[in-house]
Amino acid sequence: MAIIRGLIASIYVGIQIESNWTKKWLYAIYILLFAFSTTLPVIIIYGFLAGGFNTDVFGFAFVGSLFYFVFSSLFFNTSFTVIDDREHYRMLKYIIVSKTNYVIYTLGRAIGYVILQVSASIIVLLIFIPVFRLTLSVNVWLLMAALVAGFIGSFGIALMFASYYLLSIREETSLMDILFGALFLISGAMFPPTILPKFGYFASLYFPLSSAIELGRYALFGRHLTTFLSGYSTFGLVSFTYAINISYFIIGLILINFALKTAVKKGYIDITTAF
Amino acid sequence: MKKKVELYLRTVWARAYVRVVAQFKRDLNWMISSVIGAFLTMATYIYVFRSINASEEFAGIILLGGFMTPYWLNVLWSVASQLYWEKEMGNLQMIVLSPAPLSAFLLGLTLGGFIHTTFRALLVLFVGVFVFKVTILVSNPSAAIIVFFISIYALYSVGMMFSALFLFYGRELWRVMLLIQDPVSIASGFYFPIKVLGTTFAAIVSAIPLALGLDALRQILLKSYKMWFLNWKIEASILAALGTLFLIIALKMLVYIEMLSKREGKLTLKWQ
Repeated sequence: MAIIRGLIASIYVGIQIESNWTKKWLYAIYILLFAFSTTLPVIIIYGFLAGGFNTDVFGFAFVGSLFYFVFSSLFFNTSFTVIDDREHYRMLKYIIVSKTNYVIYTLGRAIGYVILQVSASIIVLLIFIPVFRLTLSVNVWLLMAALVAGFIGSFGIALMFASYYLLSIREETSLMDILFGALFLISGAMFPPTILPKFGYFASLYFPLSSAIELGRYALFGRHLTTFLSGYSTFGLVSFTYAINISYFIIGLILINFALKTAVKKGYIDITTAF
Repeated sequence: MKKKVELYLRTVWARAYVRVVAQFKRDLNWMISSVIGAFLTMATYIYVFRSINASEEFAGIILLGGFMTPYWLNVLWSVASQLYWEKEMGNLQMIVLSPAPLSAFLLGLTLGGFIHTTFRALLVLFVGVFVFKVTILVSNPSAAIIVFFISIYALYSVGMMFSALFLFYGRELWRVMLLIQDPVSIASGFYFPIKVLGTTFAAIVSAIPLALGLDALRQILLKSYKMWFLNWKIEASILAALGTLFLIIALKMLVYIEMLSKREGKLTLKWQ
């Protein structure tokens, strides 16, 4: 029961921190604009430069960029809660010593983010399906499976980043600069990873979000739009996606437990370097 | 008068020193990571164009966009928002109360920011040229240098203008910055020529200094660049005018906002 209470409280805190800096309606516009802005390059490059909106490559990149928006926001924002809670709000030590397990708290924050990001993405998608005449053949269960798998993998990555933040005593965001570029490159959101050099393709194949995004596309369009992961049966694709995403989650879990113990021992949970 | 000039220059130097020297002494990893990050984002767009079988001309277009990306990020996160960060760290009230002029402080961080960003931008350019084998033809180096500096002048003037405006922001500033970062870089044509947006949209986005600056630089540096919007000489003239206009607005706003912030007690408010 304490776990459920802690989880609900952290979901609430997550949604409040994310959205209470302005009025609710303004936040709704903000998050819709944010979701839409992630598809802008796709609209311009694929729509205007590559032969129109009613093509497979446009659908591939448009839907892929929305999925990447949801998953990447999830792991970037969730992991950043370490810095937010420690440096800005100075609450991290209280959260860690409270009855709620820190991983449950982080999970709640992640759920809060994902509720907001998925809602915005669905609205953007619903607005632009008729505008761009996207032909969808939606398998709702498969779509749910893709979102859950992506959530598990993204949460795993969030835990890995959070571990790094817990053990770095300055507001250290330089790793994020590298990862933002690298993960976007290998995520297969904007182009099929099959055109990457061998090493890049290999990294993409075993990066959790690329398979979750491809599963999401497959669920929305009812077919593969490129050759990426097209060799798998539906069951094979689901199994592969879950295997990769769960593996990242387990690694994240191991790392965060190690980082928490070390951070407490070294006195890093209440150290502030700015603000 | 001499004392005033000396104080102004000392303030400029002091603030620029932190930006230029500190990055090598303390934050070398920041520089390395931002170069790698910018390079990887650039690589993503090069692969996007390869996936649609676009001509290799686009690699050069994206490379120059990647070269200018660090400047845009520097203006957004380290010039436009700097007074806000100083407020959050508790330094702003001391800066405003000191005899040093606020405009000298801003000029210093702008100059320092420009110098340290140039190291990053050049590294991104060299790595990009080496990895993607893009040919950059510097047949008119003086024109390239003049256009580059006019673009930078206009861009940093915008940054100074926004720094005064952002002083009034609270927590929402972070969101506003995140919201404008990508759309502005996309609309400015970091990854494609602005001409593809059509004449009307291209004319609208020309108010963003980077849009015209990039278009002009591509005309001068890329031999095969055919999708230019206006002749680079016209673009450079518009940029010079825009830069001066933004700078005048920035200086006026700075004085006004400083006065308003003191009166309304906003210099010490954190996380509001």
